[in-house]
Amino acid sequence: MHETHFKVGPASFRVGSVWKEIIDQIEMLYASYPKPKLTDYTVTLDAIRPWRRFVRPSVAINGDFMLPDAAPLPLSHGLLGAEMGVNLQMALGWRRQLILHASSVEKDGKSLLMSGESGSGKSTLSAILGHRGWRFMGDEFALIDHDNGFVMPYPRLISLKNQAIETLKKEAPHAQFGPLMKDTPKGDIQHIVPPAQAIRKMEQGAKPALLLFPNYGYDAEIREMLPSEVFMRLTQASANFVGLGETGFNTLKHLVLDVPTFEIAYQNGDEAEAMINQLWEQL
Amino acid sequence: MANRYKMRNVSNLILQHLDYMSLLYDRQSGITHIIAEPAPQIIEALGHDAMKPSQIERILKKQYDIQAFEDGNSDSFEEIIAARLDEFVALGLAEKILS
Repeated sequence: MHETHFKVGPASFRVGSVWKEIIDQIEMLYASYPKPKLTDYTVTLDAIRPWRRFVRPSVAINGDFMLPDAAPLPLSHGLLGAEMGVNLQMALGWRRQLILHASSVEKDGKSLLMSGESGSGKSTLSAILGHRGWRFMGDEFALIDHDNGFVMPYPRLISLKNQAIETLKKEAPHAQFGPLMKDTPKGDIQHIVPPAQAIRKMEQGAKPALLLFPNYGYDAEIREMLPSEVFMRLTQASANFVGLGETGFNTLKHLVLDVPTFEIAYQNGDEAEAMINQLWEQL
Repeated sequence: MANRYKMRNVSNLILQHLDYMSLLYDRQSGITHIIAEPAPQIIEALGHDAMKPSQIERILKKQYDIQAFEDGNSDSFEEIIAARLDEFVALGLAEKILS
């Protein structure tokens, strides 16, 4: 078994696999991340049957927390398997903060949260803004601190899907990209290493100042949202709200009461950036 | 004679007003209920006591302009209160004390 260790924000992982090529890819892309002495979670990428390590190799994702019916992936999608395994540990196991399925960026010590369904553009927008004067904090999970309500970074590798791959190659041509994985269950996927300062400052949280629900592909529009609607949307967007009980309720309640929230519809990254800047200046 | 209603374990409930909706977190079940007017006002009027819908109506009519609730509703305000209380009972948040 080959293995590697890395830390993303407050969480540390050990990833092991029978295939050295998967671990080599992870080590290359996570080279600038801290190597923890202790690990919170273990993820293993195993062959679904011992002989399938060599014959039509299929990767089964296992770990401390696992979904028994998770479909195996072909070896060429092994990196995606590692990402899915790591996400699963956070979604099912993490209790130290409230986890929101949201991207986040920071400017002037304040953070912008973006939540929404897959395909809303939250991940791509955070990646773009991370190259346009904002500090990238995370493209998938925003961790909300129970004590002070700060957004804590979780700057894992940014997972680009379909058109977002070309968008980011134009935006950040010198960034480090992982292998292109074609025709995965989520379409074409390619990972990009976040900007260096995102990893360097990954233990530095920021008070949330603005929450957006982006909607990619619609005519430009900005709509203010009421706290009750935001609360409903964020309970659906949280991986651990129910499990956290009263602590999670209080953390989410303060977030929706304190942070102005808007839904924005947009056709491209420039249009979204202009709306974001407009809302940010009004704070 | 109308039945009386009482909230179960009021100390286990957290009521938080947001806008036209309010949150009601039940520590015992861990469930967050999102409730609309006049449900939060009924909970506040009841407090720790057992009351008939007509008693709650009297309290709320002193505190609020009830016209807004009655407009467009074929039910009387007392019937609206009784319906909300029966929903609380069904959710395990209140108990009905049969007279």
